[in-house]
Amino acid sequence: MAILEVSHVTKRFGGLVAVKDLNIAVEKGDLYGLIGPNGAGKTTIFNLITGVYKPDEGTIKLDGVDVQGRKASRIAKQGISRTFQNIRLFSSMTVLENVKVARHMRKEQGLFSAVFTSPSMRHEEESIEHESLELLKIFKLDDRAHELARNLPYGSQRRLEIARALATKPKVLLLDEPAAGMNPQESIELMHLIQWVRDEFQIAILLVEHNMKVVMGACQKIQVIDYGETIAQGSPAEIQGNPKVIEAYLGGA
Amino acid sequence: MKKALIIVAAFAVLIGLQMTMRDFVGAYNYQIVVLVGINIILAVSLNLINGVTGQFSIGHAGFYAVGAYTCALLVSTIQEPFRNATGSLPEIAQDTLLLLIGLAAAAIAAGLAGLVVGIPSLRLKGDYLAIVTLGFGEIIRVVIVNVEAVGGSRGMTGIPALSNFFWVYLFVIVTVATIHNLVYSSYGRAFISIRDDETAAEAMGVDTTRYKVLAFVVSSMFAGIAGGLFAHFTMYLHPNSFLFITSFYVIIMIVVGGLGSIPGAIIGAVAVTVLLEAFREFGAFRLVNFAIILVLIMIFRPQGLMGGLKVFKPRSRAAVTK
Amino acid sequence: METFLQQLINGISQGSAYALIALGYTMVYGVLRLINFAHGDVYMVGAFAGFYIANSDIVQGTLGTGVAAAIVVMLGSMAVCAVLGMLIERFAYRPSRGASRFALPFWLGILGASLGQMIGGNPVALGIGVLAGVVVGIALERAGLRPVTKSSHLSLLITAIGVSLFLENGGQLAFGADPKFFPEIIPTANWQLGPLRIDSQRATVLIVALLLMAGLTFIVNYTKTGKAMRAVSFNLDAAKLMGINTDRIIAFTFALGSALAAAGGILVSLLYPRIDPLMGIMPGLKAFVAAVLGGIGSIPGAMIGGLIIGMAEVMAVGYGQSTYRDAIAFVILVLILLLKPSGIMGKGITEKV
Repeated sequence: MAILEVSHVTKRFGGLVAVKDLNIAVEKGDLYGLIGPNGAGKTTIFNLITGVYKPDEGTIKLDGVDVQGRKASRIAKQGISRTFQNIRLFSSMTVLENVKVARHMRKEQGLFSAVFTSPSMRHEEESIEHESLELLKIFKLDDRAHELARNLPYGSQRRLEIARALATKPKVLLLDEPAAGMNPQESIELMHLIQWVRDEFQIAILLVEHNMKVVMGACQKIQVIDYGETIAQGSPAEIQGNPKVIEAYLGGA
Repeated sequence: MKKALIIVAAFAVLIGLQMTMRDFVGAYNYQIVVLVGINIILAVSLNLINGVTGQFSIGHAGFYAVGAYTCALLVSTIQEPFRNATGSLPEIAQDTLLLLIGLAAAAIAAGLAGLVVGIPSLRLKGDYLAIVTLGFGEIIRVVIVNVEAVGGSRGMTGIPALSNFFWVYLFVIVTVATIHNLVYSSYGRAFISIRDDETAAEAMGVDTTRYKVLAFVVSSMFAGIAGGLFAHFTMYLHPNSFLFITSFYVIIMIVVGGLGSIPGAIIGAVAVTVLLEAFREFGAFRLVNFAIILVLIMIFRPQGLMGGLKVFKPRSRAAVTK
Repeated sequence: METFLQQLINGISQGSAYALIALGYTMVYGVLRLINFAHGDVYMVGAFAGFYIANSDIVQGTLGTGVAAAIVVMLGSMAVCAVLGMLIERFAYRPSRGASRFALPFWLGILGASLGQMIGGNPVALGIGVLAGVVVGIALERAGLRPVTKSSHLSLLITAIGVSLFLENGGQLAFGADPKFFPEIIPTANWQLGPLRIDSQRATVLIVALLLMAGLTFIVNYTKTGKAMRAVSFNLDAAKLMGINTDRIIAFTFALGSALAAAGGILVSLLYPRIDPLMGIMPGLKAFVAAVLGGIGSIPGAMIGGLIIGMAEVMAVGYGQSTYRDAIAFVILVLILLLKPSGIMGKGITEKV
C-alpha cells in the first residue's frame, strides 16, 4: 500500500482549475519527483497535501488514513512534513530553537508544568534539547546551534529547514525546490543529502525541483505536471524520452 | 529548598516595603508606585499576545474593565454575608480572602471575555485583527456604561479598599514569573514560531489557532487581575478609565520598552507611567510633551528601549525580541 | 412615513460628514497602508480653523452670512488643514521612509515651545523654547543622530497615536478646553419639499458634500495625479520605478484627505455648532469604521460606508436605544470584520505560500 495516496484530487480557485484529477502514489522509501514548468501547480499540490488548501474533489490518504481538508498542524502531526520554496525559518530564533519547535509537538508539556517548571517539564526540555542537538549534528549544524537562524548562509539555511522538517518524525517529507539558488557543486551535495535522508530516516520523499540533474539523479519515479494535469509518469529514462514532456518544457531542462 | 527561601524572602521584602513605603515617599508617590505596578501587569500580559505571539490586539482595556468591574461587583455584593460568616477570623484574613476571591473571579471573567473575543478574531491578521479588538474593547465599555448595577455613566463608588502595594507587587511578581516561565518553555517557542511565520509553524505541527487563543486568554486573565487590583485600590471605577486610549497607553508601554521583551514591558510601563505622572500638574502640556517625545522615540528608536538587546545571555533561549 | 423620510435626510447628512472624514482615512491607507489615527483630530482642527475664520473681521464685517461667507470659511479651513496634513506627513510619517532630515529640529522646536510656555507662560519664554529646541535639533542632526533601525508598521501606528494626542492636547492649549460655538454663516431658512422639511444648513451639507465627493472622484479617476495616486496605492515600489514621485503623491494624498476632513468639520459645525478640541475622537473613530465597512483603501467604499454608518446611527437613535448609539458603529465594525473583512467594496488579498 502506498504511504501517500493522492486520488482524483481537483482544486479550483474561482474559475481557474489549478489542479485537475491528480493521482500520485508514493511508496515507502520512494524518492518521488514532481516536475513541470513554472506555474504548473506543483506548489499547489504540496499545499493540498499538507493541508494549506482543501481539495474540491478527491482524497488524500496517509498510510490509509484520510487527511484531505484536515488542519495543517494535524496533518503534520500525522506524519507529513515539508520545506518551503522560499525558506521559511523562524527568523528570530536560533538554529537549535527552530528544530525544537518541530520536536515539541510530539510530546506536549502541560500548561501548569510549564508555568511552574516542574521536574517533568525540565526533563522534557532536556530530552527535546538532546534530540534536537543530535539532529543538528547529523546535518552538521550543531556548531552553529545557538546562532540566529537568519544569520546562516543560504545553503545552511536550506539544510536547517530540512533538519527541522525531519524533527517532526514524518512518514513523508515534501521538499519544495530545495536546490533553488544553489550552484552545481551544492546541488550535487544536496542530491546526495536527500538520498541519504531517505535511507537514514526510512521515509518517503516527494520532491519538487527544477534542477534536472538533481531530479534525474535522485528520483526513481517522476511525475510531470503541466497546467495542473499529469502529462507523464515513470522512471527518469522514460521521462527524458517522452515527447510530451519535452514539448511542455519547450526544449527540456 | 532554594525556591522556598526565595519566596519567603520576597514576601518579607514586600511586607516590609508595604509597611514603610508611604512614610518614606509620601502618599502621592506611593500611589504612583502602585499604579506603576498595575501597569506592569497590563504591559507584561499584553506583551504576551502582541510581542511574543505577534498578534496585534488593541482591546486590552476591555479585559482590564471586565476584571475591574467583576471583582468590584462581586466583592461588594458578598462582602457583608462573607464577613458575617467568617466573623471569627481577623479582619486582615477576611480582606485577603475577599480580595483573592474577587481576583479569581476577575481572572475567570476576563479570561472568558478573552475567549469570546479571541476565537472569532484571531482568524484575522495584522491591521484587521487590531481593528476588531479595538471594536470589541469599545463594545465592552459601552455595555458597562449601560449596566446600572455598576453605576452606569456615573461610575461605581464604595469599593472596599482591599488592595495596596503589597498585593499589587505580589501579583506583579506572579505575572512576570508566570509569563516568563511560559515564554521560556515549549509554549513560548510555539508562540514565537507563530509570530515569526505562522504558515511554517502550522506546517511543523503547531496548532496555531489553539496557541493564539491560549496566549490571548492568558493575557486577558492577567489584565483582569490588574483590573481587580485597580478597583480595590482606587475604590472608584468609571468607564472613562477604560477608553481605547488606555489600550493605546499599554501598547505604547510595550513598544517603547521593546516589543516582545519582558524586561522591556516592565521598563516601558515604568517609563510611560512615570512620564505621564511627572507632568500631571501641567494640565494639557503633559500629553503634548508626552506625545512629542513618543513620536521622536518612534522615529529614532522604533525598536524600543530594549529592542534588539538581550538582557540575559542564557545558553539556549529564544531571542524574545525580534 | 414622514418621520422615516426625515430620518433618512438626517442619516444622509450625518453620513455625508462621516464619508468626508472616511475618505481621508481610506486614501491614506491606500497609499501608505497606515491607519492615520490622527485624522479625526485634523477634522477638529478644520472646525476650529473655520471658527476663527468665521469670527474674523473679514467674514463678520464684510461678508456677513451667506454663500460667500460660507465659501471663504470652507476654503480657508480646507487650506489650513491641507497644510497641516502635509506637515504631519512630512515630519511624522515620512521619516520612517528614510527622510528624517529636519525632523529633530521640527519636533524639538515644538517641544521647546511647549516647555517654554509651560514653565514661563509668556511669549518670550515660548520664543526662547522654540529657538533652543531648533538649535539642539540641528546640532544633534549634525552630530549624526539618525534612525538606525527601519521603523516597523507598529511604530508608525504609534506615531499616528502620538500625533493624535498632540493635536488633541495641543488644541486644548491653543483653543482652550471649553467648548466654543460656531457662528451662523448660513442664514437659517426652511423649505418644504413635499412631505420633507429641510433646513438651509442640512441642504448646504448635502450639496457641499456631494460636490466634494464628485470633485474627488473626478480627481482620482480623470487626472494624472489621481492616476498616480491609484498606482501608488497598488504598489509603491512599482510606482516609483514607473517614475512617479511617490513622496509628492503621498503628500498630495494627505493634503486632499485633510482638506476633506476640514470640510467635514465645517459641515458638521453647521449642524451642531458646539466645538471643542476633543470633538474629533468619536467621529474620527466612526469614520474609520465607515472606511473599513466600505473596504479600506476604496474611495467609493468610504462614501458608502459613511452613509451606512450615518444612517444606522440616526435610525438607532430614532427608533431604538440611544444610549447604545456609540456602540452601533463598533458592532457594525466587528460584524463586518468577522464576516467580510475586506469590506463592501474591497477585494481580499491572499498570501502566497
